[in-house]
Amino acid sequence: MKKILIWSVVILSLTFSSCTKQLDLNPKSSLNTNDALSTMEGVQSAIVGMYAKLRDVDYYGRSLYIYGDLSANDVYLSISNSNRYFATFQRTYASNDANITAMWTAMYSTIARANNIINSVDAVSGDQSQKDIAKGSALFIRALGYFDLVRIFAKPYNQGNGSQAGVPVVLVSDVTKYPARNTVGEVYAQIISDLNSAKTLLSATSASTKVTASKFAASALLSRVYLYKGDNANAISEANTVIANTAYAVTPAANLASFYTTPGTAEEIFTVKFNATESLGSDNLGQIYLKPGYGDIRVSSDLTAIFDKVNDVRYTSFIKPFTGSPSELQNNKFAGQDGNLGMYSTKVLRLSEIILNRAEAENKAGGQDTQALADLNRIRTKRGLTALSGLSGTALLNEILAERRREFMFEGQRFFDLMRNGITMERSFCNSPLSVSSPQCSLTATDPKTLAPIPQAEIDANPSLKGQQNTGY
Amino acid sequence: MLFAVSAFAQQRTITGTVTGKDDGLPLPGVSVKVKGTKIGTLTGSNGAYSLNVPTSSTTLEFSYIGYTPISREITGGVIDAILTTDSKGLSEVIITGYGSQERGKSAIASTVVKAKDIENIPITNINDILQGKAAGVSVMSTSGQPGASSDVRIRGVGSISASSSPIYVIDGIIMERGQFAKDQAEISSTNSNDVLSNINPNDIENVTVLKDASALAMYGSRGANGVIVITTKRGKAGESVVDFTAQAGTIKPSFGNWKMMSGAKTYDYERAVLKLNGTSQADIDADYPASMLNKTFDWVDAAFKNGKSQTYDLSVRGGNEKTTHALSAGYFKQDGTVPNSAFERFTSNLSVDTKAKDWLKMGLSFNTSFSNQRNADDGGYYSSPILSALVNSPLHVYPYKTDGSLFTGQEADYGGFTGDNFLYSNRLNYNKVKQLRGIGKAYVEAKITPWLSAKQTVGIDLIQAATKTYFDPTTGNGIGGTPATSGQLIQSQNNVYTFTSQSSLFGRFNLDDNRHQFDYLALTEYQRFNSTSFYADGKGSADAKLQELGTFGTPNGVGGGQSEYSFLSYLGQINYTYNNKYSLTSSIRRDGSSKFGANNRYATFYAVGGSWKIIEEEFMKNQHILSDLRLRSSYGTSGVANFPDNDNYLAQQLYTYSGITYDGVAGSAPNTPGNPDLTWEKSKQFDLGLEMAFLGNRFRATVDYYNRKSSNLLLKVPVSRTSGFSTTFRNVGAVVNKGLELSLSSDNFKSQDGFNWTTDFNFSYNKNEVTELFNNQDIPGGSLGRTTVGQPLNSWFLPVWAGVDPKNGDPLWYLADGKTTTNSYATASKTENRKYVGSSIPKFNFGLNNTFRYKDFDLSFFVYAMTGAKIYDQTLSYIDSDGARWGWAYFEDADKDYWTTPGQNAARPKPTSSGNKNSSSASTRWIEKGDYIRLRNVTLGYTLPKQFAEKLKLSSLRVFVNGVNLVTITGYKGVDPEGDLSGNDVFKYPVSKSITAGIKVSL
Repeated sequence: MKKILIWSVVILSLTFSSCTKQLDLNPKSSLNTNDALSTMEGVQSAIVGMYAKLRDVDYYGRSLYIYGDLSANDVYLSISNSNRYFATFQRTYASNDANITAMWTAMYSTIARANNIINSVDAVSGDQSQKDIAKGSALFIRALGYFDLVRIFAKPYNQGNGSQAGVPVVLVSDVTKYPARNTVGEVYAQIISDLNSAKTLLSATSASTKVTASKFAASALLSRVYLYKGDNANAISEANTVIANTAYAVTPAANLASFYTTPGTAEEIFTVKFNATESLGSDNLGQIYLKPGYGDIRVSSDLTAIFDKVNDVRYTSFIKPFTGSPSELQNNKFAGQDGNLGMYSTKVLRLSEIILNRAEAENKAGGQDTQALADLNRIRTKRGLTALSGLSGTALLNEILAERRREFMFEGQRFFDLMRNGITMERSFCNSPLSVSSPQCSLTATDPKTLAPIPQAEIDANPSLKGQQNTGY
Repeated sequence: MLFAVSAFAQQRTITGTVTGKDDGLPLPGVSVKVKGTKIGTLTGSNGAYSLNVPTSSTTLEFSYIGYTPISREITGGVIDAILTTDSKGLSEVIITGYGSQERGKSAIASTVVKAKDIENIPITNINDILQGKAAGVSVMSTSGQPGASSDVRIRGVGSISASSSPIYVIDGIIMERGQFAKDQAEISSTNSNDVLSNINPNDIENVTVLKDASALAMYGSRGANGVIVITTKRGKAGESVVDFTAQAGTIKPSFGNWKMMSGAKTYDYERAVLKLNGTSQADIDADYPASMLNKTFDWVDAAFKNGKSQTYDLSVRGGNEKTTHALSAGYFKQDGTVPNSAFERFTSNLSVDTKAKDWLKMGLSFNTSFSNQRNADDGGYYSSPILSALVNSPLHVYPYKTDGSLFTGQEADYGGFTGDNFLYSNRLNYNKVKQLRGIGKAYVEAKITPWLSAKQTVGIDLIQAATKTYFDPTTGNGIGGTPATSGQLIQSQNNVYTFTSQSSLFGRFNLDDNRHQFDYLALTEYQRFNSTSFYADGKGSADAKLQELGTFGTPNGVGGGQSEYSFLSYLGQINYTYNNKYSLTSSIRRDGSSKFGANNRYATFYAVGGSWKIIEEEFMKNQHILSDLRLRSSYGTSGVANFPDNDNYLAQQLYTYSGITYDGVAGSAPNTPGNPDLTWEKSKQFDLGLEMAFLGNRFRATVDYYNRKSSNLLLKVPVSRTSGFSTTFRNVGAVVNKGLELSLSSDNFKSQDGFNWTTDFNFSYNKNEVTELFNNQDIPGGSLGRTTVGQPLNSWFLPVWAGVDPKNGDPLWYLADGKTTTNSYATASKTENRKYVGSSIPKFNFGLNNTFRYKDFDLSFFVYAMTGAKIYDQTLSYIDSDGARWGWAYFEDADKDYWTTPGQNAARPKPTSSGNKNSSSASTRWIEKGDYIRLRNVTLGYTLPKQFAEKLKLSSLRVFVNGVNLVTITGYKGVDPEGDLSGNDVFKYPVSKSITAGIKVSL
């Protein structure tokens, strides 16, 4: 009987002692972070993931562009709407606004993906040229992320000359750290430094690289950054580098109609690519402008007033009567791509902008109005308009800014162009019964309402930001 | 020859009938034995037996479980016997899953719900049937979709981020529940499907809810939230009993107090609002001609329909003393009240238990079920009929074109903004779930010595969950820019496999003539879970009649993944009872799991408890009021190992490779920040209970007080988003649940042929409070809630509504001082001006069941109530929005009591055609009490008298009528006061009421 007892105990304990090993189970679709970034293949995968984040609906997928246009006077929010982006149109944000929080999160998430690559690629063993391209791409994307952050959450450079509060600059993304706001000057310094390093590291790239970073993309972004900063000389020199490359060409008027539905054209310098299977569905950028999508955002009379409605190819191709409400106008730029309604591979940087950047910088630098006028006409003639002559000084600047407004309508630039130039945003359609009411019919560039609030969730989580919220929130 | 004659023992035949003392009804399956021999038999279904006994035998012994055994002298050829129920120390056992404990000696606090309270109620999910039947258990439905799961909480909510659901044990094996069918299209609601709905409630013998530490410690790192032990019906020795039940009826949606404004009233309301805001009469008449009234459409009526419910069950249970068997097959179908939603289920069970030798027992059971569910689209989607009922104006949106055909919803002249007319799309599109579940279990039990037995159990649970979602190319969900991208078909398959093995040694030995009794159990358990899934998504339908992936031209996506976990555990338990009066129980369990961080892989849990049978004491012998009095108490630890989002790898810092692509290349991205110190959540619980019975067990009562401290809670600690993450998990929080449970049963009237009335009542009160958070930092719960120390979980934290400004009709909210008001929502919604206004977790649960019997009629009704929860009626904020949603549908009362003239004290702000200063934004204006009392179940039945049943060759025949959810009394304005745990009512699928009739026939 004792034997039975002993045998039972022995059998029991033996049966599953071997199973202890089975408690070490690893996930089947993920890798530990250190393993993930320790090889060249891992770094390349991480680069792909970094670009993928740009497609986020709260970043270049939709919200960033909406922010830049709906905050200004080119478009309005229709009274027949799906209840989206009210606060952006009315420029009345609660500090916990969901869209603002989502944009902040998406941008820092992109920066974190870039940081991880920048901080680990040097230790990886592999082909140096591949490592350079990886690091350069990550530096470019990091700079892009900080640039988008600083122009939404901080005052334009000229309102304080860089000493005003910016956003936290984080070079090593760490959940245990709580960074405070850096000054706008420090943010711009980091952006410019990153882009300059990127230019060198990406030297092996060419103009045919459009959906990933290239040295020309770095220069193109630099020309915009310098323009926003007010450093016109550098803006011109960076623009020169890009424009000098003859592989880039402004899309001729005849091809303009299909420009936005085709990614990869000669004019593009950097585009966030959406594949057919990567559609955001009803959240695609075009859907918020068009029926049968939401059709919430419609074209304002303030914008159409500055168009030559007969000859300007942009007007005739993209501004059409609104489906179902012909007295209103709709934006047809983002009709769709690869059969997906409203899908748009966001053309972040394209040659036309660099030419206009240069024109504006030349005018502001002084003494280069002839070149500025030539650049301006370069765009005008490709859009069905006649060349202008005899303009200089402020009149020329206004014409350049107007051209910029026509060329980049609905592309998320309008609000920033107004603010950095100190121009008051005026909505003459303010009391239209077709539009959602807006308490802000006009906003001066120094009005605190022109800045988005730092998300309340960030302030709650980050003690270093206590008391650093933007004025008025 | 002479010697041969004497070798034969003389035999005689004895017959008789055995009946029960209480009701005089015959008892089948009673064991009739000749004392001192192995000769015996069992009584048949009519209580009669016939036995050939040697003439030398003197005594017959009658024994039956639950009854006191008696002996009768053999005085003649017919020996009848009357058995009395074993009232004192009912050898009632508590089924713990790993075994059972005698109730009188155990410290366990538990509630048992018997088959008679579960059977023949046409509700899909066993959790919903348990609602209100057990003290301390709260069941909250998430949706009226048949097959949907419910939130079940035992003794409060103990976790903030991790799951606070109890675990389910079916016939001794821990089984998974929840949604395994992956809805890749994400069109159905979360929780719309629960694999637990595959179980046929009519196959359940009883459900035991284990609540206190001494029971939960047995489940170690998984037990902290309580254990629901389900035991299925097994065979019983005796003549085979064949039961057949058929039940069918209708179901209707239950709308509570919710009603929408009619087309005619909308016409008047909108005109009045425009006039109020200065639009000229001429313009109003131009925009709202009287002819509009001819073309209104009742969207609510179209969005809901009545349906049917049917159940058929057939079972055979029987056996002899050596082998018992149970076979059953069932079919259940219930329509949903939203068009194109329904649930259908086929189940079959086979179980055999055999005593192969005196010392060897074996058993086998197979449970196969197949369910077929059609899901309604979640209320948040434009294709959902529920959304259309709430959003489509009866005045402005008409579903038919002038030629009488239906709009698809995308036409420019369609009045709605959803881009989808469900009358057209709902009958073309579908979201189907098919689940096959097979549970197989086998055990061998050997009695090695009278005090030592060994048992080995092996269980396999296979779930195959398949979903198929189809979007017709002409509908809003399926339309694409080109034919190549129009129409979509998504199919997914998830195969889940769980293997469990338990090896145990157990037994009982007594010392000193039963003065010292020891019950012990030593068990080791290994469980391995693996879930493998994949999906394929295609666009570009070739023909609307072809709905298979192969016929779709454009591949739109593929994916797949695998997840697994394992547990290795050791359990030891000892119960000691002295003198049948004083018991001491203790258990210890060590769990190791792949889910925990590398630094914390193993955990040990323990419990101690005691029980004192006061009734057996000398000083209790002379009183006649109490027939049972027992005090018990326990204290112990247990854990929670179900991580948020069912993530089995939360502890690791990971990059994910799944679903990340750019320009056609697959990539990776940071997924979890990880935490090597991550460990299970801990729970410490103290319980004190008193069990009483009065007047010969006629009235029974149990009272429990418990104090449950949960700590080391997994909290999503917010981090600076500059890190790329918004949150990371740490074990930092603590929550306390304290409460009181009371259950009463009484046999109010008891007589054999006359009037019988029994009542069961249970009541529980739970107080929940958060006691510790990370750095005392509050956790915002979206924009509506907040978790903070000193308040309960799931607290609402909202701007405080102050009503309407009589001067101008503006909405007003209070500032922090509670007196000053503001009409600026931006100011009112600042954190410092918000207040805590209650929690969505109910405080009080009541259940009352009354059963009446008079001669052959029986009537029972079950009422339950929940009070103390606060619900955020988000749906109301959309349909009563003071014009912010102009042109949508409106709540029935939206046109009442709104501000029109200065000086008026109105309940509603001045409506305009674009809302009024965010008056409908989140605030306490939309918080309502979720108190309700509901007549859950009424059954009226008639059993055919014995004589007539026998004439039809049946052993019994009963017909019955049953009603579910017939009456609900509540002040809540929305569609259903029974909120789910989140308490946020947004476009919810309403519950249904049903009336069914059935017949049960036994052979």
